Amino acid sequence: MATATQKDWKKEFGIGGWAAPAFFGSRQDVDAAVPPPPQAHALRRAFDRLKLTGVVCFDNAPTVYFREAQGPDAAAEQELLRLFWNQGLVPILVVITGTEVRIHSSLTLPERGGPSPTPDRSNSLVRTLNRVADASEIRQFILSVQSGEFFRANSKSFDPKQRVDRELLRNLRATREQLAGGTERAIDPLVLDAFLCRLVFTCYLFDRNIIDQEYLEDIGIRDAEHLRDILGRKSRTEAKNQLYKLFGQLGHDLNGNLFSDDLGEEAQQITAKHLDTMNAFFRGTDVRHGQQSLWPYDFGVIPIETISAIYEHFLKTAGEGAKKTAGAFYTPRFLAEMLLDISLEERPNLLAKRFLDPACGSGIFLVALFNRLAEEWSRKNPKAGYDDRISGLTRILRTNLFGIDSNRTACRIAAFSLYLAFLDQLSPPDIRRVLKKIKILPPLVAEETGGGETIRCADFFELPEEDATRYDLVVGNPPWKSETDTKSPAVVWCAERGLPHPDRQAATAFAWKAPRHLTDDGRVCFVLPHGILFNHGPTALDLQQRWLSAHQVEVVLNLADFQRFLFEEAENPALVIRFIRQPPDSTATVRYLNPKTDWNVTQAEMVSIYPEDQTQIRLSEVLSDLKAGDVPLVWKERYWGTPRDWKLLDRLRLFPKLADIFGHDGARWVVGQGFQKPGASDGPSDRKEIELPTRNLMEARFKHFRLFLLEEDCDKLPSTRITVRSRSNTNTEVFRGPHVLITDGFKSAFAAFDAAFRQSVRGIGGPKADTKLLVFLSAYLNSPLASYYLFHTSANIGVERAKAESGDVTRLPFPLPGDAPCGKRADELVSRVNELYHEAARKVNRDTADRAGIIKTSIGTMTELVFDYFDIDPIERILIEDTINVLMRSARRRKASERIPTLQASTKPAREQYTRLLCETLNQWANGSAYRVAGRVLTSPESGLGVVVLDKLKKGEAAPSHSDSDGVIPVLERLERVYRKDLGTLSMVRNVKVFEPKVLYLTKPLSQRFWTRTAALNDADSIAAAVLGRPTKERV
Amino acid sequence: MTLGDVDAWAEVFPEDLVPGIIDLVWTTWATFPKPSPKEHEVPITRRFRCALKQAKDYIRLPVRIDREPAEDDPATAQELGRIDLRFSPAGSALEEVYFAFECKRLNATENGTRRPRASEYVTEGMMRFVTGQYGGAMRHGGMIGYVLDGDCDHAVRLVGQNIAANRVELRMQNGELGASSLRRENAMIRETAHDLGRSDVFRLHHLFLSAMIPTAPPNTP
Repeated sequence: MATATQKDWKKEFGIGGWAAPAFFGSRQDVDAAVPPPPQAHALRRAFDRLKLTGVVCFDNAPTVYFREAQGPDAAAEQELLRLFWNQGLVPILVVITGTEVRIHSSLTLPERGGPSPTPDRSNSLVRTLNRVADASEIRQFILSVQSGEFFRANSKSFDPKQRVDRELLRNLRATREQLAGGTERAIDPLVLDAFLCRLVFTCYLFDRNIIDQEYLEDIGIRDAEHLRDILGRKSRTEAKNQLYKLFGQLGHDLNGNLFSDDLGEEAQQITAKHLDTMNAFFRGTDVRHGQQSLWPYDFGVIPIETISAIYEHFLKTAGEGAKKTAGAFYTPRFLAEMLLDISLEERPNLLAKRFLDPACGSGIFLVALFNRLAEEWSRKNPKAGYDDRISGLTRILRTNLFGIDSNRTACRIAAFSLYLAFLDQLSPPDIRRVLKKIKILPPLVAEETGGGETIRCADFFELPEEDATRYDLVVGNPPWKSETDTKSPAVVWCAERGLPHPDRQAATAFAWKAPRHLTDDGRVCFVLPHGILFNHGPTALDLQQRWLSAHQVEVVLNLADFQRFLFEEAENPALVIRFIRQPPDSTATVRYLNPKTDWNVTQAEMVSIYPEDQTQIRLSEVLSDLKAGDVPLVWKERYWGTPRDWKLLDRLRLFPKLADIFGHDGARWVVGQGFQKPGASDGPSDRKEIELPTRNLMEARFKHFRLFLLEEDCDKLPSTRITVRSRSNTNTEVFRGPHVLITDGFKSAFAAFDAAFRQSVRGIGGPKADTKLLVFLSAYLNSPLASYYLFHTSANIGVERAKAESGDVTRLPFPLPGDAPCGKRADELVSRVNELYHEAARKVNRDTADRAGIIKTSIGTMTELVFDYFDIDPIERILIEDTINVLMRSARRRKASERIPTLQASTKPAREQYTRLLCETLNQWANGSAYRVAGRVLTSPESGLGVVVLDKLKKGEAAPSHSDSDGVIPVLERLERVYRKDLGTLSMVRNVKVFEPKVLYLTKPLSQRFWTRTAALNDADSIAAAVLGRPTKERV
Repeated sequence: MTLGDVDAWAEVFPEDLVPGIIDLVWTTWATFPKPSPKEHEVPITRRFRCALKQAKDYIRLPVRIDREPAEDDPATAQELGRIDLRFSPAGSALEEVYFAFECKRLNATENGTRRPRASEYVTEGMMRFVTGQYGGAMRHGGMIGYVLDGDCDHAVRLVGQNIAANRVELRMQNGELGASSLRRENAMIRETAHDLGRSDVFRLHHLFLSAMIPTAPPNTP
């Protein structure tokens, strides 16, 4: 009888037929895969050191490691877990024993102190499943990872803050602080950084067995196997002497910039306390509270990109002051990889290309690029000996990769990162073999005294663009900061060329200059603040018109929804933008990607871009808006809006705008902001006096600031004469009633009486004869329709801050009764709203206790009348309701939680409603054909998946009866078998439509986002789109 | 992502929903404020596009009318005298046109005299479909003739003659402006068939919209 271990575990996990690029069963599979798998180098290292049995990749990223255990060996498994956590590349490790499956997480901190636990009690253990009793759960495991259900159900075991990079970063930062504060004499930060870099580098050499006890003995250091042994010497003098002896020898053997400092001078500044701190750090002790980890960091397995990314963060956040001036925005490793994936699409033959990062920081992009180039080199030179390999890789460093940074420490760290990456591509025996013969590390940093040319310590804006050097790809994450110095090179560079430079944003200047360094078919791909496309101020629009006209933007990846957890230190949401130096032609389109928060990204930082979140935008439309002086809303509309929403927004945009009523001479209404009180630092010349029409003051924070206000809601100013800031609004007409007051947070209310207000409130006022219209305006602004429009068009709301800018409000569609789509009923509807207002005001006067309830009821009734006024169709109502109830409550959350509507599990009634509407919509279009569509939903809560099954039936034909085997798993197993090749690393469960002759399957996660009525309408449209857009066949 | 045999589901959506689009245009025109005999096609189409986007039928169809700005002449930066109505599948992320109308005025008043403009209708309108202006997903196309003096019979006759005269260039077998296979009962909706080298014949649907009368469908041709 076969034992469990002998069974094919792949079949148990439902991946029996999987092959590259979705599954790799060995190092050889990685070598053979064309194109190379993502992060091939790290995968090979994982196969070698973790002795893996398989790796599953989703969305171009390794996601699950598998390892078959040969027998019960707690020590071996503990070692496996140590390597797994240190590598931190993949969130899940599955250990398969004869009887069990143990699922571990790399996003849980290893145990601290105490005896080593057995693997079945390790912190990292998420689940233990019995291979026989839990066979069904094992079968659904991969699906549940793909759908995000596994991360939802086990969210406590997946905390990105506990991954090796964050932990190392925290500890390294604390170490540096302790080093800086450890002595009475302040130590030069440059010296400190160099010391730290060199130590980490040396530790790496030991961890990878590049140097060892023998190496130490050769230079006269006895009884030591590792750096830790030297740092741990009881005699601190001996420790220091041996350490610098080692540094000296490494400098001699390796060359490079890392050991080129005056080590003697540095040694004089390093004290015993510094050595103590570093000793603790390298022994895995948490420097913050002295607790020792179960194991020290293993720099031999921590990916170089991780070390580089950590250093970048470390570099940019070294101190608050430094953070502000540097324009801090750390490039997480996954972002660097994503950016390069986008940059290098359809760009083969990397070895023939030159790459520049003009703000290279610690060199994260250069390192990631180096690894890709090295992979290509290795594949082209499979039989190269170690000398050829060293010279080939050295050539990459010297001729393909270039970095610039104005920060000297950054340049040094970039070189350090590249050295690590370089050595990482060589086997330790190879390195040892050549170590004594040649200086293995090429100088990389350009020095006055010579050196390399790879890293230049300079300001990019002082680099002449006429320089003959051209690059095929310019990548990076340029600094995000408003230049305060008007003489800074970036500001001067833009000014001299007359280029719009809103807010003197440094990143914008990089976006202007970078394309000037490109070859004719080169590309730029940058991480940029979202304002470059989203801001609506006059200079921002000028920038957009000129920049988008001058350079064809090809791809925009909008990461705004992740800002609050992935890029929490960035002040603005991030966009990745790929563009070329040539202007767009009339047919140019932009691929616009808008990934949204899901369990995979919050718990494991795995970014999945669903089909719903990908669209194309015609640049001609954007430019046409800008040319006409209109604000291009498309970036925002297509952020959360679905194709159905685009249609509704397009329709609403055809109506006259609110601004049309007051945006011209002789306008019947006025609009204006409230007054601004002077600040403590404002001198007499910054102040002026104005006369208000009233002593009533309406505060924005008033708790019933909705629909209408009463005079008694106001505070009383001591006098109508007040002092304001000189730049404050002086048009006091807007303080006269009747008017509608609107706060920055988009609360609005009608006030029949005069009332002054502060700057955070805007007023729209008109003659008394327009009172009814102003009441109606308030009802409209309080309706879901206005919120819907604002959410999908405002530059801020749902992207950055919950603040409605003046332009956002005045762009709201608001036809006067003569232009209203409801025609003659318009006046009647306005009157009816006014009756409801008077009725509500009377009720509030009588019963102030239930004011909120009265207003809520009134708004509910008025909303129906507002919908009638705008002739909102029942289908359009669905879109509005889903935006208000689901999307607006889900945008830009800090972390995934069950309270986020899009992430909540859908209910059975919701799925039934979805299916009903989907079928109704399709059958409406099928009317006139001989067919109809009948639908049902199969669900698997354990895997977090649903499959919508649509049967194509002849009219009058009964729906087929369903068998017990008609479940999610059997259906998906069959589809996987048939279509696996077409999927690549894409997941079958991420909204795939499979058309078979009589059945259409839609696979999707069970979370609510995919089961709304809006989703049903859009799914119906996408089914129709697939059919209507099918290519015509050429005649043979 | 779409997998499998999409063609097998084409029969669920009769005539690729083109009848719905034709009805949308016809019914919207009925209540559309009519253009003057001197008005050019660009402003008419602009207004008409807005009206189409407000129509209830449009909300329900799985198509999106593109925001196609009028083309500029690259040499003079002047707006060219042509504009079209393009329909994309609403549920597609790709900006792929699946149906389009070329819009031309007919029987227009120019310098005080009536000009049929049937020749331009054929050579500047219909020919755009034949010469491959649109992508490979299109099986049908449409021509809208704004008949500015309301004399639709005259417009249809002259367009028919011009089509017959350009039969070869238009890649037609018979050169006939025939009755609509989709809306047979309406004499102002016609159809031509063109051999564009595909397995199916390419069909152009012609809608003659009178600028004079909001009417019920005229009699069968």
